[in-house]
Amino acid sequence: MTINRFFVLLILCSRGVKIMKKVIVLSSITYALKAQEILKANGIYANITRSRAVKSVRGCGYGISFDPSVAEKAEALLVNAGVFIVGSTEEK
Amino acid sequence: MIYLDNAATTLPKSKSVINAMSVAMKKCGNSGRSGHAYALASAETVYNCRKKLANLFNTRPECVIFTSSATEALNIAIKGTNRVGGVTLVSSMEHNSVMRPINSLRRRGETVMRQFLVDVKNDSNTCENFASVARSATNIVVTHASNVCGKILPIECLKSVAPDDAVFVLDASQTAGHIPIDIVELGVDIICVPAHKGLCGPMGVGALVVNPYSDVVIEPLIEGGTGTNSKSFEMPEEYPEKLESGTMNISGIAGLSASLDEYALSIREYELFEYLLGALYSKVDITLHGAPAAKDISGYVPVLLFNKKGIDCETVAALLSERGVAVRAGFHCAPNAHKTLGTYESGGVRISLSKHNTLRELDRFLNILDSVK
Repeated sequence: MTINRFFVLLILCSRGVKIMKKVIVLSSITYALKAQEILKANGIYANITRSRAVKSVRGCGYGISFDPSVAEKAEALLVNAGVFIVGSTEEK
Repeated sequence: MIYLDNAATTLPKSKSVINAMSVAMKKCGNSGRSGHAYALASAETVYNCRKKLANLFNTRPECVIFTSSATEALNIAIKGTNRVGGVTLVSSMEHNSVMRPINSLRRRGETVMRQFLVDVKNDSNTCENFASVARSATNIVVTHASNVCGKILPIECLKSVAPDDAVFVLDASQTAGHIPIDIVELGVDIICVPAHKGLCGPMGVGALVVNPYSDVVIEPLIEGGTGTNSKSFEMPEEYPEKLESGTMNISGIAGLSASLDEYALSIREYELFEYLLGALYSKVDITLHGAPAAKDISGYVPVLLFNKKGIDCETVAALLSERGVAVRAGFHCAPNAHKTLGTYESGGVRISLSKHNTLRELDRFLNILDSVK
């Protein structure tokens, strides 16, 4: 994330604007934690989520949410690491 | 008390293990069930422990399945990979945690059980005995080291002559924590381990470790909630959740995780083992069974079986206990191992060391043993 984009997001958040996040749905909490770790090692910070976005894909389950601008890179990293992606969606 | 029963469970457990278990009881929710801080703390505790075990055995974290014991892991490995109409091959040194589940399958007509003889004095003979019956085997279940006499089996040799398509399960109950184990290097499909023996963790936790390059399919013995894909009545296909339904022993896993932080292979326990072996060989009223040569302990974990002339093994253990020494006597849940060692009628007294034992304790034990009459 560039510094400019970071400040834009900060300003939008401070004004109560909800930012879209990319959500990748994983098969379990184990894979969610593994995915979070792989992304962190590559400079992408993701949160574990059990949000509505995950529910819409998997019933109950876990996903990771992060800045959508790095979605392509993140998905590639996970696929290369053998992490099975159940689905992906976006949420505010 | 001089504690020499570490093959049953190591004592004492370290303060960090006890502390980690206590913290987990206070701060961990139900792993994999919710998204709140307590549940996530629990999930991270479990995942961290998976990573440590994965590093120890050279596999991936998702290939580490937590169980309540090595026995449960062995039951899943044996019954969950059994091929109906196949042949299951075991060694003559197996514990009942292997023999009973296979016998149960045999009784139901779901497998044929065959056994190969272990020659504790000669690994080549063991390997030849294995090769002579291995051809038809669909499943192979072998102990890594005998819980009765400490002999390590020549797994690399056995694996090299085993049929490629046979599922190979290794019972590492007595080796995990005592010798390095690399599941990829050994080439076996599954390793089953307890937390509370050589790894010095708490009782109530075990693990089934899958080779990351194996295509073995393991069916669950227990089915239920996994916290994922809740609208489906089918178990998930992916490990570890496929084999981990139900609430996990989080405090136990936290304790194991703490013990793994302290883990280091102990040279001292082998130095003590060699010292003890030499001392027992020098006693005319002691007979060692299946023990290594006095100055060559390679191929063994620090476990010894003996009998004292003219005294029943249970009496020896009881008298030692009265005098402050904890050992285990009898048949050690491994009747065929006692048949192999020639102690099926008498049983024996087992001494098993850990990194916590000291030379002073062994000298005291040897003096006390002399006084047992």
